[in-house]
Amino acid sequence: MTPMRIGPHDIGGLHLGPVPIETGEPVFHADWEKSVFGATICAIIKGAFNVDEFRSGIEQMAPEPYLAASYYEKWLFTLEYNLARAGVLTDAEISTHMARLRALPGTPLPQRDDTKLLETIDWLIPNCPGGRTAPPQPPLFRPGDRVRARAVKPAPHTRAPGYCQGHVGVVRLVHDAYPLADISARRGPETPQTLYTVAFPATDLWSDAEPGTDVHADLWESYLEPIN
Amino acid sequence: MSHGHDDHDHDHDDVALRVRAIESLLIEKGYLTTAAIDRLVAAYENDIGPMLGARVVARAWRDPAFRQRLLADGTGTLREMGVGGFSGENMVVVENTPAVHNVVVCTLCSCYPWPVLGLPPTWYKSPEYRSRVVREPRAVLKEFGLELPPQRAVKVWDSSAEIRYLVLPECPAGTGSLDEAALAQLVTRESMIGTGVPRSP
Repeated sequence: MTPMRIGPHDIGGLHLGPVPIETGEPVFHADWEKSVFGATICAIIKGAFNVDEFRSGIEQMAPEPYLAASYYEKWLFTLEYNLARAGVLTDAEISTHMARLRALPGTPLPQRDDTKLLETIDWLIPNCPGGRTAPPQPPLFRPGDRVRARAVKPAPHTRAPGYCQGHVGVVRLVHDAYPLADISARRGPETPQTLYTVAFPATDLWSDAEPGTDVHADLWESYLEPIN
Repeated sequence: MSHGHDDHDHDHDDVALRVRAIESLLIEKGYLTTAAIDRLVAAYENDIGPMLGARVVARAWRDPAFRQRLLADGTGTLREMGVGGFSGENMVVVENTPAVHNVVVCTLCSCYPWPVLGLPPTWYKSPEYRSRVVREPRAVLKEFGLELPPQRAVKVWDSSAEIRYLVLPECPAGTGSLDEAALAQLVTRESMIGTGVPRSP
């Protein structure tokens, strides 16, 4: 069956070439990467957008720019995309300011104090709660159950990888409930659902996959249907 | 935002300028401070990295009861060692055995257990790794210099939702006399993702 893809990022199972392995690499390869990293996390802390919107923004890239972009170029794309959607910052403002910086290259960054932001960062790094809750109803599935991954369309975001959609797997782990990413990404009401780890034999997904391989995907309850 | 290779430096300067503009504007609008960026960068450059996961692995090798707890409840047991938090709030630890080798990926983006391993390496986030390790993990592991015995099963864990995974590698032979600190030195980042095994003593 032709696998359905949920966006340019849905690349599980493609053959994209040898893995580029850089030994001893720095955590950040340029100062601008540090700024994008910090600015994105602060924008999320400040409520401009949430983590699911962050991911969904990257998925709006066209396929070729997506594959060509470096990791933090993707972050930059979604930062701008989400800030524009939130009405915080427009492309025109950015262009105007870039022109100003070109005209006056030594311009320092504005210095502001935000103690609360620093305190939030210090708290968040070790203590971030992560959205786990008790499920609103008893889990539909148990470990060992065979389930089929439904065909799920992104609207605009989902976390059901195309490679498993339509395939039968076995529930291995039953987790607590977490807010469904599909709804969080469009700022809908928090919708906790039980999360399951489901195992699929790789050769069921791709006939030329390496035998003796099981692929585990973490799938929300609404992504799954029972096998009778 | 694709790059032409000839324009690489020009594009790079433009990206840096663009980011600086965004940074300035976000500071002016109250979303950001330079101190906040510095705090976040320092945390992930200095304090949070694979050495945290390595200590956990070393303890699991030495303490069978801790190991059991770690496999049963990753999040709670990591807390015993003061480890946990942002981007790793819900942890599952999977153990390598003579029969099974585990490897972790996020095919859809690059979800990774920051609290135990820090920020992910470029290869983990690459389209090449993300696409191929679910379909041909042994071939991918060979590119990392790891050759698995042919009969060993491979379990690939695709972090597609809120769970983050840590691989508990097998303890190397000949380490009986080493203390936990020395054991931790053998535990590589790759061994906790599944693209490598620990060093030998």
